[in-house]
Amino acid sequence: MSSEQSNKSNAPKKSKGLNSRRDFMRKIGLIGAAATTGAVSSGFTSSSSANNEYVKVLTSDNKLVEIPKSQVQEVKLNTAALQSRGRIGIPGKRWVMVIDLAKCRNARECIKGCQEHHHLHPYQYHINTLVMQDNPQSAPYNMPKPCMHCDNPPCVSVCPVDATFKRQDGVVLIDNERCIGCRFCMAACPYSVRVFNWEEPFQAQLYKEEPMEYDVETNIPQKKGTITKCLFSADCLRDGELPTCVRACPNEVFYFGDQNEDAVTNGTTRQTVVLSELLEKNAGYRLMEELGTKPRVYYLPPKDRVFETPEKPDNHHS
Amino acid sequence: MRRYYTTLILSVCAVFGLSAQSTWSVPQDQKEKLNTIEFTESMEKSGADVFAGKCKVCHGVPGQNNFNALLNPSPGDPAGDKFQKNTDGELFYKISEGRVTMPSFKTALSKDDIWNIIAYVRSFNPTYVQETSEKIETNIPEGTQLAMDISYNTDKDVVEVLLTGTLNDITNPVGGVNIKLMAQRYFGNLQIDEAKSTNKRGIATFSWNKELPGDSLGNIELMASFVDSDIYGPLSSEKKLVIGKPNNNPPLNKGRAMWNTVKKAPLWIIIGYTGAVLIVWIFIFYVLFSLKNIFALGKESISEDEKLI
Amino acid sequence: MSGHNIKFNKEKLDKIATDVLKPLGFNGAFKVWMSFLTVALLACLYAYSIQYREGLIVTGMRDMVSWGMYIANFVFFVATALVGMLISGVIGLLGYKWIKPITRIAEIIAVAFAAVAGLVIVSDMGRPERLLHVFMYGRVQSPILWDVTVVTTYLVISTLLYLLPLIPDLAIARGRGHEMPKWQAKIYELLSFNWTHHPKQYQLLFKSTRLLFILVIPTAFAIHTVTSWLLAVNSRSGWDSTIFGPYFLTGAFVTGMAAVVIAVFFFRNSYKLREYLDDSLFDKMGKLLEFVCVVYFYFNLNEFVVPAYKMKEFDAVHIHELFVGKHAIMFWFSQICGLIIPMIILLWKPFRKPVPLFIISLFVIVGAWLKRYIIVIPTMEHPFLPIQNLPNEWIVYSPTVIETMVTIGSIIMGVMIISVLAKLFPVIPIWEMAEEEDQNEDKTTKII
Repeated sequence: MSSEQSNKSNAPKKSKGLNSRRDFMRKIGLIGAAATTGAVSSGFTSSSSANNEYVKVLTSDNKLVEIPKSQVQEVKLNTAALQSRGRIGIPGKRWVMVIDLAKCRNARECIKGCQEHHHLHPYQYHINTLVMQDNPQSAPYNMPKPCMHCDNPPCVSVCPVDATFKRQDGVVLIDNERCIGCRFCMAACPYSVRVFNWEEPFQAQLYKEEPMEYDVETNIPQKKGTITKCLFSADCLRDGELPTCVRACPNEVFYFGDQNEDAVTNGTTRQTVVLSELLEKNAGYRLMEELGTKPRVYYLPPKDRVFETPEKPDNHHS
Repeated sequence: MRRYYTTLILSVCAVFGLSAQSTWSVPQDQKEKLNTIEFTESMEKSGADVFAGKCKVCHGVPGQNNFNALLNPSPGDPAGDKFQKNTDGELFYKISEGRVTMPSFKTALSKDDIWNIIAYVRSFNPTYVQETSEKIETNIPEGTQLAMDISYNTDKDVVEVLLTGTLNDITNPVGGVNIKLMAQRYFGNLQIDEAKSTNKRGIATFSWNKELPGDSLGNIELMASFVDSDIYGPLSSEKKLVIGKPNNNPPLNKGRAMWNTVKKAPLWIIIGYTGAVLIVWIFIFYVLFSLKNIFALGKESISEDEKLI
Repeated sequence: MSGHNIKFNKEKLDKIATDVLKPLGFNGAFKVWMSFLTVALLACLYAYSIQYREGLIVTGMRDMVSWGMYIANFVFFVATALVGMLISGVIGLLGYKWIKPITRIAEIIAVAFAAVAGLVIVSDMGRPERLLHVFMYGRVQSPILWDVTVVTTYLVISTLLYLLPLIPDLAIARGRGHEMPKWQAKIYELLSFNWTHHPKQYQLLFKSTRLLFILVIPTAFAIHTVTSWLLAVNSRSGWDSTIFGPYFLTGAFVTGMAAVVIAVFFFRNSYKLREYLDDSLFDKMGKLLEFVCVVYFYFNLNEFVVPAYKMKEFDAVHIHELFVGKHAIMFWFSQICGLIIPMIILLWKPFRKPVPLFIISLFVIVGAWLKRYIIVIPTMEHPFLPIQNLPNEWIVYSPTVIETMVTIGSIIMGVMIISVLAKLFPVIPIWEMAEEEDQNEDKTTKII
């Protein structure tokens, strides 16, 4: 296990070559599959192509191997394979998000990107920007609110069917092929981040025209009568990419990274900083610490703001 | 409460401070910076793509004056006079470094990307005539093959980067070149120490925060490169060194917890639930068994006066 | 109880059997009544079919108030079902004999309401066709799994508690050659389990029912405590309370007693059983209702006065909405008309006469339903973080017509089950009523 782990923690290389290879493989849905080693996992549908060249492929356990091109089979993961992969998560990682409240001007680009990524109705928010005011004297500020991906997630505790679950890398996902739509998790979430598909999903027409495999890491296709929620763009994380909202922000609000590496990368400037230093220097805090939910999302206080303060919220706490 | 007052005052100061500081001064040497090649149409095109992704949100579409006017300082229309008055070097510097509400793009965008954006922005200026610069002279003779090597110096407890140049099969250390050292992280590289200049022996030394986590064995993938890559070329060197703090944090879903899967449920809840269900249902089955007995008793013959009714 | 020497008064038995068996059978009036209920139920099922097709969008629930009338109604049904335990279990085991005529009515209510509660919760599901997932992938940590378990268990125990004491009655009816259609005779034969009035059979019956009486108490406590935990395990103002279990349980006794009074009043009149369901019985039921009201009032006091005293930020919003805000009318109606006034006036004997008690019980049961509504909805309307950027109609909850019809449908279903059972089988246990009173029973004074 330890050798495998050391192997894996180095897997996300950022050198150009590997990155583009990953991109390439993601695009065509290619997963290492050598017929000789029988590495073709069950649950894949495949179509073979013949050629004599050798190609490098990444196996499903993250090993780089070279095999004859004739033996490469292009595989498309089916729902079950995507589900089992999605439930396992990425070993050795502990995703963490930092949101700098001083930088948010409510541009709502994160919301736009997210709603597109996850096929949401305009009224469904995986991430929402709220105008907050902590007390009558303090100035209001904008607060992007994704899922907190708590380390003690009340929503997961109450789920009767293991439809929502927490993975080893900290991400809380929802399997809408499992969900029975009881909405207990919505009642349990103190941050009100969970969203229900009350009606047919936004892209229902698209799903009808082009049926697609359900990917638990993007929660697409959305399904009527099931829960959906912020997923930290788990599909992007697998590909070494920052979550959609983080990348979409034009104002340097979001940092995202791996707590195990003690580093977070800003989605706008792409500068990587030391997580512990960032939180220490800026007095980072988490929402509703007193509830013991242990969120994986940190906020930097809205101090030294560069944008004008928003108008006072009229529906404070109601 | 005090914290909020401070915040308020600081933000007010910040806002006033910004309006006062409406001119953005760029260092002289940066101002004169020019691209080495002439802008082409394909550069403009890829610049337009990058612009749409990164700049449009605040600056709007050039020439349409639909920038976000609420921002302070105002982003302005890139096709406008105020914008176009900037030299290429000034534009390059401003995009790279950013200021207040303008993010810094030096990491997010490559130098080529930034030049492409400038090419695109300049395409809205009919009077613009591009100047290009000559290739910058260096103290390294033409044709030298540069090589970098990263190593860990146990005695001094520092990381050293050795820069050598090979010309006509003779290899010599190269001094006076600025090198930066990065540690690989999942989404980007973390700079270690500051950029350092190589000494006479061609060595740049870097110290690092010993708390920086590596993998389970403490390995950190390091990458050295030139600060002035447009002068010395895109050469970089990678090496894995055991200089990090070994990181053996267990998976977050390892222990038993209320939120974990059934198999990892707290023992007391498994025992309590199954125990209670079992006990109650044993009794229920006992009652059902009695019913069966009642049924069986009914088959026994019984005299009328034995019957209770 | 194994040494229970049972003696029957044969004359008494004759008379009781005649009186109790007489109103049975699906007569014309019953058929009209059932046709009416069926048509109404079909309309409600049609409403549900729309919900099934379109999704829960047809209800008034949205992301903020994600639990609405269905959950409130579910809590109400579970609460009412608990009366079976109160009457047979608690009062019965304490040795009070006056409950004999109403034990079966209480069990009918328990069976009907527990069965419908299970259906009500399905109507709230976004994916009802995945109900089996609860059994396939059930997580032992989820209160929903506990709820499913205890509702099922309670339904089984209640059904057994209904069926077991029914066996001798069915045998009596058969033995007396009571006229009935063939299919009904078949059911009687099947359910009388070869009953020959064998003393050993009675012994087994006593042992089994006694065991069930004991078993039904923890099960019933569990069912309503778990139901309260569906709400109390969530960190939300109004639910985040440590007394929610007993608060719900005592509330359930009030609701259940009111339901029993209403049912008993109905059977007393339309089944012409005044002789057995007499004024003194109503007096005792009135006293019991008074008692459970006082206990429930005490828990209400705790539940509202403590947070209202401290006025913590979110509790204050909640309390304000209930006391003077938009839920005030419902809140004060349920508290004053559904609890406080009944509690006061039941102290006087005239109010414990059948008709006044019946009217009081109607108020209590309506108040109890509304109480469940204001336990569920106002809390959901006030989450910790502000509600913003949502369409206006998404913020305030108001039940839709479809939702209301589905809810009414559940009540109709409950009434139908009660109606059928009450026309199919005797509503008063004949043999228990004809049992000779034990002469050396302790004569200590009893409060109720």
